[in-house]
This record gives sequence, structure tokens and C-alpha cells, in this order.
Amino acid sequence: MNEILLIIAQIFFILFLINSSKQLIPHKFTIKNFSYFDNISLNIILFINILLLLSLLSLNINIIFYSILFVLILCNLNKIKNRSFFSLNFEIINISFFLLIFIFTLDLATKIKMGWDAEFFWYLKTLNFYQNNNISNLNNLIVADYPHLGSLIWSFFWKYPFNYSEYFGRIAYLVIFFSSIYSFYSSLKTDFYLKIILILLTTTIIYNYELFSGLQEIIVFSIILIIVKFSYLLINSKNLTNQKKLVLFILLATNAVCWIKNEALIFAGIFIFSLLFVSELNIKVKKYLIFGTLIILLVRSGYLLINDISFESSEFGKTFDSNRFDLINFFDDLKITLFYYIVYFIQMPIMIIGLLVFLYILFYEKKSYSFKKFMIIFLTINFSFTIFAFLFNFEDVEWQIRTGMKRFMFESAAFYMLPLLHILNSRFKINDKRNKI
Amino acid sequence: MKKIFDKYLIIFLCFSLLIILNKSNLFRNIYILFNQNLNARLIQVYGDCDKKYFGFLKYVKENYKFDYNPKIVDYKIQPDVSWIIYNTNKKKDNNVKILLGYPDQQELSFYKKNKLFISNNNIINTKGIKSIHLDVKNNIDLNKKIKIYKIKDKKKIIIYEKIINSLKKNDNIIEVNHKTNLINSRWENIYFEITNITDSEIKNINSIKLSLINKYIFKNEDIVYKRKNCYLIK
Repeated sequence: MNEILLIIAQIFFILFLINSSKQLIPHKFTIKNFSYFDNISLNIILFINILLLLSLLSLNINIIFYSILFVLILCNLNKIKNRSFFSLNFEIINISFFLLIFIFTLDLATKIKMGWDAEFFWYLKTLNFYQNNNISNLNNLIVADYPHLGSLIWSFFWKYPFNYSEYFGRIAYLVIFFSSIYSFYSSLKTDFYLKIILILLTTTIIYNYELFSGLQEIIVFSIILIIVKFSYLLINSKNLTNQKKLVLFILLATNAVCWIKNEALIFAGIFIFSLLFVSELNIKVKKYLIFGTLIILLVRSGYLLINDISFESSEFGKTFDSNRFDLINFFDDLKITLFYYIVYFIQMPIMIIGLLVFLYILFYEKKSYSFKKFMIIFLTINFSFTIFAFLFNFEDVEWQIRTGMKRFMFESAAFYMLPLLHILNSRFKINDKRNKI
Repeated sequence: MKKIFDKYLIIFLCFSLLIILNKSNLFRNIYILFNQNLNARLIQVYGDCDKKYFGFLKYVKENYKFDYNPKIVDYKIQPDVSWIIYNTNKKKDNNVKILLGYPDQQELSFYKKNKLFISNNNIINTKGIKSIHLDVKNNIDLNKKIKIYKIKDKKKIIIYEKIINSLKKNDNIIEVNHKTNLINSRWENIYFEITNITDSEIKNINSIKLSLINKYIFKNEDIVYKRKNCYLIK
């Protein structure tokens, strides 16, 4: 019973801390017609970026926690005085959001077991922060080239506020996951019940305990889903000021995701590159996208260079090693790669649904030329990247594919949900009083 | 029309809720949380002196003081279990202190596939081949070369080669005492091949087994703490 109460308190704490982070940015950077869950997603992105920034200053987790707490109290002094800081919003949709996180947290609490990669790589990074070491000590652990942000989030919520068990840190992964799902469906102009059904079905399709066993792919998936949602709003926004703000949010999310897994930067980069082909976007906005992505790339590579970190331990570190290229094996490997790609694609319903919906749009929707062009470019480059990343890996290709390809594909699966959002918004327009997420 | 639509939506919503409840194992999870504390659940998941050796390692950590992170040797092929007691503030010890799943004897058995024998399991922490056990139905005069190898990155790596002459009925033990680290293999299968073997000869072989040399051998007086086949040594 005590543990269940602690779990409830932990979820409230995570939501409270994440939601408070919006107080740290000027009011003019917010978007008026953002839904409640879009704001939560934005707060998550901000919070993760704040954590990243503080960790890059070589601060340990104690100092990070107390500095965040201090700044939050300072920024919210007026609200605390007025007692409006702790006001709760008891709408059905918010209660369902909390309940889903709670229900699946119980699954974490009972299954507990960490995944292979989590035990081998990510947990040690988490332990590094938990045991009050800063980012510089990561060089003494294995896979220094693997980013640390996911582990930092894990250790942060493991240690604070209750310091109960490592799985308390993984509850934050659930919060991020459900926030992204709720945010994704939040702006649909459909019936309230239909939204809830869509959220429940999406959760049923995607949720698998393994994803929350300390592996980082689920955070990449969730943040990419947030990028997809913001991009959808960007494509459909006619206000230049809003477009600029959305670009900033997309770039912040891209920055966050590339510090969680290295390949996520490439996925996000491909998506941003494809966005440049959307004709509705202002040329200024496109310039911001290019410039911002380059800065993110420079900061990440600068960090690796300054700390003398090579990609040696990475699964894809030896990819594109031309000296090892062997034409005789090439076609065999290509056959294996394509075979497994199809097998894993079939195993991920979210990708199948996304692709089918896109094919429907492609052949049956007369308008949306720009959207079609954007999606074709994105899907082609994304598919090619996945195939080539494994094909030119000179280590045993089949072994690499069997151990990594499905997770690799899952990371970018959120992009396949964009056509779903497009079709749902164009088909269902049932406006009623309950349509208020 | 709208009412009918709402009715179906509510039915569908209830159906989705049931799926979620089933997917999340909610009632089973609540039952477990009420009946098992965190430590009991951790031991059930990670094992005491099996699986990840959580109980043993936790006991050792709580009862013995280490200036360095003890070097752990695990005989099971799984991720490094040192995360259970690892301290990122301490350096690593180069000497082995903890042995987990320590076997009395290390063996590698093979199954027959066409004219080849393939290892049933993978083995680590050995320093060579002690002997080869060949069980045959009838006496055979082979005079053929045996090859033990593995395939890594599509390349054949020979571990051991020897010409064997005749095999007697039942168990034949061929003393080898060949020291090699190549027999250790986390992922790759080990192959046992008898060159130019005929179909009738291969049918004559019942089983093949390798007896291996353990890499870590210690005396009884070196044992500081022992639980089943998990050891803390000096």
C-alpha cells in the first residue's frame, strides 16, 4: 500500500516539475491556441533541455535538482502567495491521462526487469549521475559515445524526491510517452470519446513492457511524436509568428532527442530536411530550420570532439567503412537486410497503419500535393538510411540486424503517424461541447 | 443518428478500456504489489544465486567492504551483472573477487546436422580443450582429420585440428590439453567437423562432447563466502 501511495506521489511530482518549467520561458514564446497537452509536451521538451544544459555545465545531480527547485520557486513566488500554484484541473481527459500513467506504472513496478542494453549500457550511465558524479566521469564508463540525457532523466527521478527504487526514474519515461500520445490527438476536431478511443488503441498497439525496461528508444519515439505534432501544426499554421515559435520548439525537441540516441539526430535531420519541401512554409522559416539544425549538429559534434570521444563502441561506428567493402557479399547482405526490414515492418502495426493511410492519401486525396511530396521524400530517405546503416556495417550484418534493426525502426515509427493525423483532421469534423482537450 | 453514433462510441470505448486493462495486467499487478515487497520482487526477477545473482551480490555488497569495484566473473552468457553492486566513484579491481554460476566441469556438447556437428550451447571463461569425448556405436577405423572451428564475420577460425585413427565402441576419450581462448564464444556456434566422413561413418557416431579447462581455479581456503555455486574469494 505504501508503495502504491509513493507511486501516485511520484507521478504528481514528475508532472508538477515538468509543468513548472514553462515558468522559465518568457510568455511571448507560448502559442495561444496550443492545447493543454501540447503545452505539457512543450514543457517536457523545455525541462529536458534545461536538464541537458545543466549537465553540460558539469553539475552533479544534487546541484541540478536544487538549482531547478530554487529557480522554480523564485519564478513562481507570486503564484505560491496566491495559492494558485497547486491548483488542479479535474477534467475527465486529465484524469484519464493520470490513470493511464498510474496503471502502466504498476506494470513497471511488478515486472521491474531491465532490458539487455539497459543493463549493459544505460544503467551504468544512470548510476553515474545517481551516485553524484557529473558528465566528465562518463568517460570512465563503457560506451562513452552513447549520449547521456535519457539516463540523466532516469537518475533524476529515481533520486528525487523519494529515492525509492530505480524504476521510479523510469516512470518519467511513461509520463513522456503518454504526454506525446495525448498531445498527438489533442488538436483533432473530433468527438471526445473518439479521441479517448484513439488514445487507448494507440497505447494498446505500442505499449510493451520491454520498451520501458530502461531502453532509450521509447523516449526517442515519444519526442519524435512531439516533433511530428509540432510539424503538423507548423504545416497548417498561416501565422508567421506562430510558425517561428513552432520551428523553435521543433529545434528544441531535435536537440533533446539527439542527446538521447545518436541516430535520432539523423532521423530528425531527415524529417527536417523533408520539411523544407513543404511549399506552405515561409522561406524565413526554412532558413531557421536549416540554421538551427546546423547549430544542434555543431554542438553535438563539438562535445564529442572536445571530449575526444570516438564512435568506436557504437553499433554503427564501423558503418560505411569502404576498406571492408566486399561486392560478393553485398547482394547477400542486401537480401537479408530487406527481408528483415519487411519482417520487422509487419511486426509494427503503427508503421503499417501509417503507410496504408499515406497510400490512401496519395491515391484518393486530390489536394495535399505538398504534403504528399514531403512524405514521399521523407519515407524514401528514411527507408534508405535504415537499409544502408545496416547493409554497410561490416560486422556480421545478420547479427546486427537481429539485435538492433527492430528497435532502430521503432525510433522512427512515430513519423509514420503523421498521415494519420492528416487524414483524421480532414475526415472527422464533429464539433461538440465535449471537444475540449 | 448522433445518438446511435454516441452509443457505438461508448460501446467501443468500453471495449478499448477492457483491452487496456488486459494489456496492463492491472489486477494481477495490484495483487503482487500488495503481497510482495520491493526486495522480494527484485529477488524473484533477478534471482538469488541464479539468473542475475541479485540476492547474492546484494548480500556481498552489504556485508563486505570493497575499496575497488570487485571483478565479477559470470559463467552465464548475459549482460555484465556488476551493475547490481557497481560504484561509479571507485576504480575497477583487476583481480577476480566474485565468481557466479561457477561450474564443477565445463562441457560443450554437439548435435548432428548433415555431416557436421554444431554446439548445443555457447561457453565462456575457459582456457582450452581438455579432452574430446566421442561415443560411437561400433568400432571404426577413421584415419581422418577432425576440425573444431567457429565462424565470425563470415570467416572460419580454426580452434583445433588433429588426425584421429580408430575409435572403439562406446565412449572414446581423446586427451587434448590444448590451451586456447578461441573456444570461448558468446555468440558464435562451435563446429566439429570430421573431414571426408562417409554417411555410414557419421551414422556410427552417437554423440560428441568437449571437456574444457576452467579459466579460474581457486583453493578452498581462498573462499571468503559461498552460496550454492556463487563464490566470493580472496
